[in-house]
Amino acid sequence: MDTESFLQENQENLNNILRPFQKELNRGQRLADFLKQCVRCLGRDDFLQLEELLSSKIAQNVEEEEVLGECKPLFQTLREYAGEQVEKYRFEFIEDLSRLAEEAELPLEIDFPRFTVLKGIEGEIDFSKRTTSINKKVLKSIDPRRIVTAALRWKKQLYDGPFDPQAFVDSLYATYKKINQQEDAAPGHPVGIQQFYLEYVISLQSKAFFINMDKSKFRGYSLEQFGVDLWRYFEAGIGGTSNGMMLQLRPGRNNSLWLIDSDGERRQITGISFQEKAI
Amino acid sequence: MKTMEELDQLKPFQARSIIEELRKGSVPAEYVPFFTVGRDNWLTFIQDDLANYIAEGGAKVRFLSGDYGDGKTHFMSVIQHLALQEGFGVSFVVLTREIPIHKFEAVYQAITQQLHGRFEGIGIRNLLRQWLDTLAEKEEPSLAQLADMAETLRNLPGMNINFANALTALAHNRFVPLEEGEEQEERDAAQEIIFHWFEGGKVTKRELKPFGIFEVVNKSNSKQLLNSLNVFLRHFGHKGLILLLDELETVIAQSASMRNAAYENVRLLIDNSEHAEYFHIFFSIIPDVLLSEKGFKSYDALWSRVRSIGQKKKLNYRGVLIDLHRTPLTTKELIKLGRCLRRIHEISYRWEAEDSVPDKLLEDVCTNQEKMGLLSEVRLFIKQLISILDMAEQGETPTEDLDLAQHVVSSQQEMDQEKVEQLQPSWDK
Repeated sequence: MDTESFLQENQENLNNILRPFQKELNRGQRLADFLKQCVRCLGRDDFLQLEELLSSKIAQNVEEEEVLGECKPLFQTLREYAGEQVEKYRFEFIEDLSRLAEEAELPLEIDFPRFTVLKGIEGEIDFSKRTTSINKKVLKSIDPRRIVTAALRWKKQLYDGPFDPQAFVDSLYATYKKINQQEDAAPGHPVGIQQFYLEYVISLQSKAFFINMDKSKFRGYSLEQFGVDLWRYFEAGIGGTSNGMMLQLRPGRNNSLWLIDSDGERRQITGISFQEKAI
Repeated sequence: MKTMEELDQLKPFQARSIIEELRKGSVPAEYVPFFTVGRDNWLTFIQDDLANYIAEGGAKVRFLSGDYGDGKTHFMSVIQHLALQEGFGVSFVVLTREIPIHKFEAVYQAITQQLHGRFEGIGIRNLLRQWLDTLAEKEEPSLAQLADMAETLRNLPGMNINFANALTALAHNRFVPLEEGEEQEERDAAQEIIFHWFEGGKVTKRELKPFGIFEVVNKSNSKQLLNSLNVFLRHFGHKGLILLLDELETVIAQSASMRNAAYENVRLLIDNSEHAEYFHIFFSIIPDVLLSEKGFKSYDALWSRVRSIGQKKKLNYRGVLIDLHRTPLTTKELIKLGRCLRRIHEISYRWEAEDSVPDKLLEDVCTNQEKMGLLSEVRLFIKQLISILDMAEQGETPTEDLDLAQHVVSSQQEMDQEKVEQLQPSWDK
C-alpha cells in the first residue's frame, strides 16, 4: 500500500467514526439550545414564545431523550402555566397588536379576528388554535410581535419596491398587444388572464435567464404583487397607457385569478383587455 | 320590545324555558321579545318595509350579516315576531346539509313545515285545515259553491294550476258526501296524499292524477309552488310571505359545484324578487360569505347583484345588507339586556338577584369582553351572565369570589369548542 492510499483509507476510517459522533453532538447541541431558549423565556416571562416552544416537535424530542427525562414533568407544568397565561393574554392582545403596529408604522385595521394592513394584505387570528394567517400563509403563532413582523414583511414585499404606474400599465399593454398579434385577434379582444399573467411574467425576465433558464436568474412576480400593482395603478388615476388605451378587467369564474379591481375589491378575473379611450 | 312590567307577567315555567334555551346557547324563538334590546334602527326600517312596501305588493331580498354569536338567529326571530304581528305568513328555516339551498325542493319542504301565520299551530297542514274550517263556518259549501271556489282559485294571479287543483281536491275530499261503497278510510288516505303533496313529500304521479295534480314538487317547479303558496296565503287573509333562511354560510364548506348551484339559487331568488309581490326573504350569513374567495365573490352573477353590500363606510339601514357585525350592541344596551335576563332568572328560580349580581358586575363583564375584541358577541355575554346568575342563585357570591377574566376566557373557550363541533360533519359527532 502506498502512502497516499494509506492516508486516504485512514482518513475515511476516522471520518466514519466522526460522522455519527458529530451528528449526535449536533443533535445534543440543538436540544441544549432549545432548553436555553426555554430558560430565556422563563427569565422574561415570555409565555407566548414559551407556549410555542413547548408545542414544537423539538420539545417532544427533549422529552424522549433519556438523559433529559426530568424535563417531561417540568414541561407539562410549564405548558399548563403558559396556556393559562396566553388565555389571560386575550385581554391585552388587541391593544398590544395595535400598539406594536403603530410603533412599526404599519397601517393595521383590526376587526377581530380579522385584520387588514393595505389592499392585498389580509389576515385572520385564530386564538384558540394559536395561529394567524396572512394572505393564506399560516403563521403558527399569535404573538403580536411575530404578527407585526410578518405583516411588515408582506408590506415590504408588495408595497416598498419602486413602482411607476405609467410604466406598469404600458408594460401590460405591450404584453397584451403581443398576445393579440400572435392570436390574430381584433384590438380590444379579451385575453385569458391566466395566459396573460404567464406571458407577462416571462416578459419580465432578463436575456441572461433565457440562456440556460438558471433558477437563480429568474425574476419572480407573485400573483399578490400583480393584484397590488393593478390596484396601485387604478389608485394612481393616470387614466390609461401612454398611447391612450384603457385597461379593462373582466370578472368571471372559469380559468380566473384573484386580483384587485378598480374599486379595491378582491375579485375573480377571467380576462384582460385594452380599449381605446372613448372621446 | 317588552317592558319590565310585561316581563313580570312571565310565569316561572316560561321564564325557565327561556333560561334553559339560552344556557344551551340556543334562541327561544317564542320569547325573543322578552329579551330584545338595541338594533332599533334596523328594526324600525324593517317594520316600515313590511307595513308600507311588502304588504302593498313589494318584494325584497336582504342579507343579515354577523359573526358567530352576534345575534343573527335572535334578530331573525324578532323579524318573525314583527312579521306575524303585521299579518304575514312566516317561515323560519335553518339551512343545513340536509336542507341545502342548492336543493330548493328540500328548502320548499322545510318552508311548508315551518310555516306560521294567522292559524293555529305550525305548518301548511294546519293552514289548510283552518282554511277548510273557514269554508264551513256558516254551512258546508254545496257542489256549485265548490265549483265557483275552484274557478276563483285557478284564476288567482300567479296561482299554479296544480296548487289550485290540490286545494279544490282537498275541499271536495272534505265536503262532498261519501259515494256509495266509498269508505271514510279511503277519504282519509286521499286527504293524506294531498297534504303530503303540499308538504313537498314523495308521492307518485299515479296517486296524484285523480286530484288533477300532474306534477310532484321538484327542482324546476318548487319556486313556482312557493309563489302559489304566497298567493294562497294572501287569498286566506295574510299580507304576504316572509322567508327567514338562517345559516346560508354552510354553503362555504361545500364543494365548488354545490356552491355554484347554491349561489345560482340565491341569484334567482334575488332576480325573482324584481317581479315577485308581497314577498320578503332574509338570508343570514357570516362576514366570510362577503369576504372570502368561496363566498359570493366566487359567483360573479351573484356578486354583481350584491356587491355594494358591506363595502360602504356609512351604513344604509334600507340597504340590502343588515350588518349586525358593524352595529354591535353598545355596553349600555348589553347592560339593559343583562337586567332583562337577571329578571327572567329571578322569575324562573323565584329568588332576588340584584344584590349578588348588581349592575356593576354586568358592566365589568362587558368591559372584559370589549378588551378581548368580542363586545359584539352577545351569545358570549348571555352565556357568561347565566352562568354567573346560576352560581349566585346556588349561594356563591360572584362579586367576592369570581375571577371575571378567567370566567370570560372559559366561556370563550367553550364557545370556540362549540364552533368546532358545529363545523364537523354530523357523522363525526
